[in-house]
Amino acid sequence: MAASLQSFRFAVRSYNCRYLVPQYAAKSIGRGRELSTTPRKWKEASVDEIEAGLAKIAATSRLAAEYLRVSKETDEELMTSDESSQQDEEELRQKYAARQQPYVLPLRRKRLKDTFMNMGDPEPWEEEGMLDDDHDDMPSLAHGELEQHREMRHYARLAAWEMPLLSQLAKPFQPPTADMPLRFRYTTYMGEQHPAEKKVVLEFTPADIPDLTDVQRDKLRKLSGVRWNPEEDIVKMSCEMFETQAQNKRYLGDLVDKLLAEAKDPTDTFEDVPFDTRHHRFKPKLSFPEEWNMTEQRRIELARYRQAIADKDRHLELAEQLIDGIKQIDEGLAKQEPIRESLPDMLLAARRPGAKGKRVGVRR
Amino acid sequence: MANTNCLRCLARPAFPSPNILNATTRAGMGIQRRAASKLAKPSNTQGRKNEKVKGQKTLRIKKKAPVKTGKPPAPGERKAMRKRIVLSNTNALEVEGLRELDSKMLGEWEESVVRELQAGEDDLVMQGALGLLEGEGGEAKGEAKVVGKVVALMGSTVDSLRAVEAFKTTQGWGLFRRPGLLIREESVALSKKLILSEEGGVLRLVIDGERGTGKSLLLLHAMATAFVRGWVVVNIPEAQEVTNAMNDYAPLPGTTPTLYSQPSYTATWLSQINKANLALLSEMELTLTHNLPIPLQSNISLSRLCELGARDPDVAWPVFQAFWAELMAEGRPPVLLSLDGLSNVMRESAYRAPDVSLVHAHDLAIVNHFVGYLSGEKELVNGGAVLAATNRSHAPRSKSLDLMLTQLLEAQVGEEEITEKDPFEKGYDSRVEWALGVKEAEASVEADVEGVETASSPSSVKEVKKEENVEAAVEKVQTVPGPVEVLKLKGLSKVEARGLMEYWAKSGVLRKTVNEQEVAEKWALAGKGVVAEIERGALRMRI
Repeated sequence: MAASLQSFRFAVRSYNCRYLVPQYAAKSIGRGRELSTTPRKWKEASVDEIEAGLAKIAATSRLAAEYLRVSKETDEELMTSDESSQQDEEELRQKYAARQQPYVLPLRRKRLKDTFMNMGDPEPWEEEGMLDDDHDDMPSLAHGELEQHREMRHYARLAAWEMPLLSQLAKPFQPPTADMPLRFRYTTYMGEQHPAEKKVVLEFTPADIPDLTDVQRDKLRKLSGVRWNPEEDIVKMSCEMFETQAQNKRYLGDLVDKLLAEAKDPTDTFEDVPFDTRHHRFKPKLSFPEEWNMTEQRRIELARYRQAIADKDRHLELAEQLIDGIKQIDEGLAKQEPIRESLPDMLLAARRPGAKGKRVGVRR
Repeated sequence: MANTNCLRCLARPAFPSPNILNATTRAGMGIQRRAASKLAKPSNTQGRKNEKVKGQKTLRIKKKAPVKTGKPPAPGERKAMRKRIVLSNTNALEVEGLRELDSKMLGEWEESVVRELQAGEDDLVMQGALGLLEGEGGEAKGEAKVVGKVVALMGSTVDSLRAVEAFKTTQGWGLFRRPGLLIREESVALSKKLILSEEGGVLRLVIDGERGTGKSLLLLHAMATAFVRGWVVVNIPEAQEVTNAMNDYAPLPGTTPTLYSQPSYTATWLSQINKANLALLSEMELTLTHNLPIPLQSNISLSRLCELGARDPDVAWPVFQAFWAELMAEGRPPVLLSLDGLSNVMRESAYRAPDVSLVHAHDLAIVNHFVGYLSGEKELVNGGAVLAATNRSHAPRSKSLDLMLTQLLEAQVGEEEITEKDPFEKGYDSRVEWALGVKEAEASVEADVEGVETASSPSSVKEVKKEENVEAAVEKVQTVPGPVEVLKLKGLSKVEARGLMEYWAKSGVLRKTVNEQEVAEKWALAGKGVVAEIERGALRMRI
């Protein structure tokens, strides 16, 4: 409620445009305080006046009669009390007053106005001509706060009493019929002037246009060009060339008439022209493939498959057909060693006895 | 410089400049010649190293030129080092029990093919891959034993493959003791199709797939099969070398539209063909007469003919044409035409025509020759196959090629909705679409012409035409070649991956136990078994 009130109030308050007609200008709700030059003191009513007023209504009001009786009794008590006690009271009162000085504001230094218009002014004090502060009123900011409160209450009052009456103006929504294929969109800026408030946007789908053959409908789509959305099959166009909404709407209507006339024109059926959808990016519609869904059947299949491969590996291992690269290398190198071992014998065999041959180191 | 006197004020310099030692100055110097000579030639004993100019604080250190030690490499040596292929590594272990890809193994596959045909399955069509021929009983087991195993290549096959540049440096041949090839389902099917196409019915195939799925190696397998079966193999190892304008080119006179020959490339190509097929070519002799710029003896072998073309680039192209005509003569063995890097060929080359326009790759004589057979325009008379492999790393985009391959795959699989050409795309190439698509117009035109000619009387024209049209329709089905087949390679199956990893472990390059868990891990990390990624994960990137 508060939020809606705030926005309502804000909307109303923001009519602060220069060009606003005075009759639409916001009026202050509360009674504004006028600046007065003559000091007006608050006149306190005297005790006698109060008692006289009370005596008048003592006949009807029980409280007033009670009050009068009590005040008479206290007065009599006071009269009969000692004068010395009165004097003591007076002394106490004076002592108390002497101890606590009445608070006096410190003298303020007179400040200079800080505009250059001071030149030539003999005494350009800033606070010249202002009244002394009598401390008899709230500061203006406090008045502003109260003003705001009043404003909020005003809007709350409207929201509670007058807004519900709007339901009497409600109309049921009638969806568009088949003879209303064109859909227009208008914009209002709630009374504010905006350059786009005269724009009118038209949308229609070629499928809804009556009395067209398929070929003519396709021609209409091709003629629309980039205004045609191939995914939704909607032609959307706007106009803000003219100064009024009515003019723009009329232009769009005429445009549609021209398009339809061209679409029905049999001289060129546009059948050989392919559809151009390069201006539109088709969104890929992805869906989870059904085959990927995990079902009990699939679970069983997977379990069986994993069992099968585990069995296969075990069988191969038992049959010593499981190939391990590292073992192969070790075995392979072991096989190669004996070949190298046999080489020195062959070399030795070639040496003739008695011949001093060179000693050849065998590479192991 | 002749006269150092100022021409305006005719002032002369006090001392002649040190560089001038003409007769006058020398005469003028006279007694002070020595001093003057010192002035004339400042001595370099101190060197300019620490020359101090008065008033300046400088330290000038002359930079010494680096001393060149050692012999610089000969021209072509660095390229040879870069492109060298090592096929054997004695540090790797020898794998026992490796079968060889020999005529015996291919004979087994041939038998199974024959049995299939007898059983009545003429069509070898399967989803995506080539026909996976599932035999009954015995032969299936025999094949199943080999699928997923690594086979070694025979020595002669290796030599021929090396001559034909089928091995690439990026493939890890240098890790193993013997070059070996993994037998995949697709390679068995491809071998069977090659065997079938020996009797006519030329196989025209494009091998496609993502990067690292084994397209080049499948091509190598096909070439190995061809060598073992006694075919003549003509291979273009890197299509980019043909089209990237690094080889000389020249227009062929008398061709419209102008074709361009590449003499030095053709010469090296002929020498490669000769070296690879030496055994076959040296036994075949010339049977036709040719009109060549060089004198030819009538009884030389085809090998000698290739040599003649290889040593002289200027006559290389006419010699190649003569060689090809000989191969297309009767009684010659089947021919395997293969090419690696199809996307380089299915676009414009980097060569420029005289009017500075780019020469289309199909206008290069070598490529034109290949594409003529790939598209089915020309036929390999003695049977054989035309294979092309695409490459996906460092390959230019050819939009038409991508579109055609997608369309052909969808048509093969039998999908109803075939991807259509984007009407707003500009980069399509109609020549590429012609090369890989279905050719219809020519045959029907021929048939119509025949129909009109044979009609005699006007009254019976319509009837005759109807008959002719029916016949023409029948002819059309028979004469028009079908579209190119596409084989899209995917990852290995787990069985094949396991076989490969076991081979690696047996060779000593994989230090792991090859159990199902290990295989499944490497297979999954490789994006469902892409071979290059398995290799990278297991062999190369080892922590």
